[in-house]
Amino acid sequence: MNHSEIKHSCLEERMFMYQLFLHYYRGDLLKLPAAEWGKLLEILECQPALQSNDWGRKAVLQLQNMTTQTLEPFEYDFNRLFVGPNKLLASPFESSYQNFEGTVMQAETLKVRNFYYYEGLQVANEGGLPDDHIQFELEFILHLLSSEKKKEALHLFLEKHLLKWVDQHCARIEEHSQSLITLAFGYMLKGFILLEKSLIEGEGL
Amino acid sequence: MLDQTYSITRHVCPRNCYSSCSMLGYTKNRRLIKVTGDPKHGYTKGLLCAKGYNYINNVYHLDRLKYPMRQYPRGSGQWQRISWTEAIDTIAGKVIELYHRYDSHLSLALNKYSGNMGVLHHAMEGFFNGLGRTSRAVGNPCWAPGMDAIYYDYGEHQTSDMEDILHAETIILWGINPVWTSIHAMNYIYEAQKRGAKVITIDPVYTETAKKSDTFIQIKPGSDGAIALAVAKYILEHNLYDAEFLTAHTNGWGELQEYIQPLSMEEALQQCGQTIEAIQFIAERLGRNKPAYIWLGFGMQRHQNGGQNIRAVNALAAITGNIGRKGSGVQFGQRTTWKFTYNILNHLPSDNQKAAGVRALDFNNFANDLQMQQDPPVKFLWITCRNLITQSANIQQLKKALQSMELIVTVEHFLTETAQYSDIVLPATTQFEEWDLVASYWHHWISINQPAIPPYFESKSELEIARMLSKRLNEFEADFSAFPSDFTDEEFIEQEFTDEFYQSLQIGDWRELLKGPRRVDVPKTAWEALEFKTPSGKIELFSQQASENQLSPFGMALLDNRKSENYPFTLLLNHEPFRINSQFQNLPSYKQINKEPSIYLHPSLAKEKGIRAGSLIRIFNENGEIMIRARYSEEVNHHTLVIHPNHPLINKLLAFTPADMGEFITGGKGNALNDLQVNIAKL
Ligand code: SF4
Repeated sequence: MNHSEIKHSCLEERMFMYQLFLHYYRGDLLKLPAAEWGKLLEILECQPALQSNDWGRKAVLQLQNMTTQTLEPFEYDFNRLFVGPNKLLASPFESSYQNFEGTVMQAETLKVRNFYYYEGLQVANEGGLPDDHIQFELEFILHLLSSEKKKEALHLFLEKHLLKWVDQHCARIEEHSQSLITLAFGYMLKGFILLEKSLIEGEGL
Repeated sequence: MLDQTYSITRHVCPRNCYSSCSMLGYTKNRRLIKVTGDPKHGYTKGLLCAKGYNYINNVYHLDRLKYPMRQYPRGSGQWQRISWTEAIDTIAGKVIELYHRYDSHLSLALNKYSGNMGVLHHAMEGFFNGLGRTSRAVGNPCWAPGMDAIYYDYGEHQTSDMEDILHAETIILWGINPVWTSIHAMNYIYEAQKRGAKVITIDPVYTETAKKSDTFIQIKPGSDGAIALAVAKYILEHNLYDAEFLTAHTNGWGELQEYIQPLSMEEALQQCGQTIEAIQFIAERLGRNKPAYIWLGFGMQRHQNGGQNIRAVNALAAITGNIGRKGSGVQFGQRTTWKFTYNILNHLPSDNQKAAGVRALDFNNFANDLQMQQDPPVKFLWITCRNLITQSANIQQLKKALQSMELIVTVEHFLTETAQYSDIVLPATTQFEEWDLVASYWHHWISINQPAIPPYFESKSELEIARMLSKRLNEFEADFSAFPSDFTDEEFIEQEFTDEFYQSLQIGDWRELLKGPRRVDVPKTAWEALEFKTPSGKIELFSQQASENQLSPFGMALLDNRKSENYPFTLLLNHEPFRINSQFQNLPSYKQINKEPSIYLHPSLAKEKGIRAGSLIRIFNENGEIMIRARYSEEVNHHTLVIHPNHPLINKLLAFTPADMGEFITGGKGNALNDLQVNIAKL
């Protein structure tokens, strides 16, 4: 594979990556057995766009170094970064990046909710869980991605929301991560977002 | 579509604060958008303090606890998210296991304090009561000595409506700094001043309130009783007392006179650091410019002679006839409006074999008692409404005692130092996500708290947690827990009222509180009827009850000379306006204020010790030492240091120093926190 040539992700790869991040942020990978991680790695190694990107390759390289010992601190680190109970080190909420107090449930949360409403969607426990948690934003993007007709809405949502804050989120992961896996996913997200940006720019929307 | 309308709900600030403000929450799209004061609240009148206006940042704080979490090993920082089912199962399993191991529930302990003053926040005490006899932290770090003192003198705890101050000619703010800690009172004080009242502040610190007063009298910490005695002596010698009042309404004036006469004025003056002119001024204001309204703060009773200090001022007011008349009285704290049934505490086991009640662990000496009680030892600790590790004395001993716990559960909003030292943390709702009722220890208004928004993430109210736990225990073993798991929040509220209470609030149903807070029908002026629930039916200047409890029958006494040569400075722990102990500390905007812990000392002392402003210094005593930044302050005298206790640093210097009183009313002696003697050195 020629690493210097940046490939645009195909729809299939994009869907796969968004799904992967959705599972990741939902916490589904926390209990993934070691053998399954091996399989996941194999799949990642075959994602052409990801492999054409420096951060993507860095992420895959990290994961290749994974051992059973690296799996153990993964959950604790994941919680330190995104769940708590401590001060969150890499907030997964859009609005927390947009105000001095770093609070959740702010104006951005409602804007995101409005997008969901427009598509007839609503988060469960609305008002209790902020709509702009990265997990919901990813799920929503997947929903938009599934239909060619929603392309405009997708780009609008990406530009107005996820792409606005996800770099800061990744930077905090890089700064605070203490586990090989959370760091790898931080790199991978950063790389993937770069691809998404270049794709959108390329499409001139 | 997003909604353009908002709903308004009623809430109460449940913090340990004089005002117990009623608040309005504005919610749009299931999101709390604004919090204001409630104009229908007759005391706070629609205003909040800075903390209150900032609640949104507290409610939607990024770091609020979101899920039940388990940590293994304790203190490691390795947290796993668990479901509520798993949390409740683990806790219930441990409760049952311990019961069978010890054939009693005494290995279970509850340590709860004033993080939330709501009635329904008694749920965990109610839950523990429903199991049978358990261990519990009993006592009070805040007002224990004063509550006993008031009880010995008056037999009950009353305060006047704050409007009463408008009738005062003289106002004495004694060891209280309302500009910082009870902001709503200031409008009443300013209005009284406008109407001609003279305000005197008596305090060891030249506080913001002192700056707004007509006269400031700076006393040595803990010498309140000595100054009162000097004033009483002056009053006696200059016939400024109210003979008629004394005969009609007090008991023991003759004995008190005999007791005071031989005491040395010079010694009293020397102890409180005053001139005779200052004493004369206070005596004349009390005797000639009546009515005199005296407000006693809590700090002055956090001394080894704290209860005596309060009794001494009570006596001064009685001697000058400043009790029971409009615009007079000694105000400290009240409980007469707490007319709830507290049924939430009374769901006791029906099984007569199970003992009821508690095995008391001294609240202020908790570490010690945890280690002392070994039959059976405490193995399970439930902490709620309390940051045990930052707000306790004897921290090292406490941490050691906690090591022998098999399970520590903390219910919290944030990962406090205490929660960090727990095995399981459970996320609690705030007052915007739950029902509650709140009465004040100061004013006479009762407010209801209703939910405005869905619980933040998976947080639950304490009541809900108690219900879930009770239900699960009974599924494991029938009739194990008597705490009702099938009552709704509203049913619990309903049970807190009686017809008499409704009448006193002039409502027929608790739901009417949703229209606005109600004033409990108690006298507007404390002791207005001049009837006292003391054994003599009068104000007790001589208290047989106190004497029977190994205390002086008189409130007035000169101090023991207990200054230590090695630790000659008194370190006072004075509250500041933006935090209540460890609460509100994590708001980013507040972190800009007083960014790091500081100690305030007089420049003359700094010079003597070669300490530069802003430098780090060492503070030490027999309990430990801390490094802290020094700030110059002309507001303290040469021998007094001040620290704002909004960070745990100070605990390294604190042990349990019992105050003279507290056992009678609160079940344990107060901690003489303001008798903290230290030395300082530059680094
Ligand atoms: S802290 Fe006190 S003054 Fe401030 S809002 Fe709460 S009750 Fe009111």
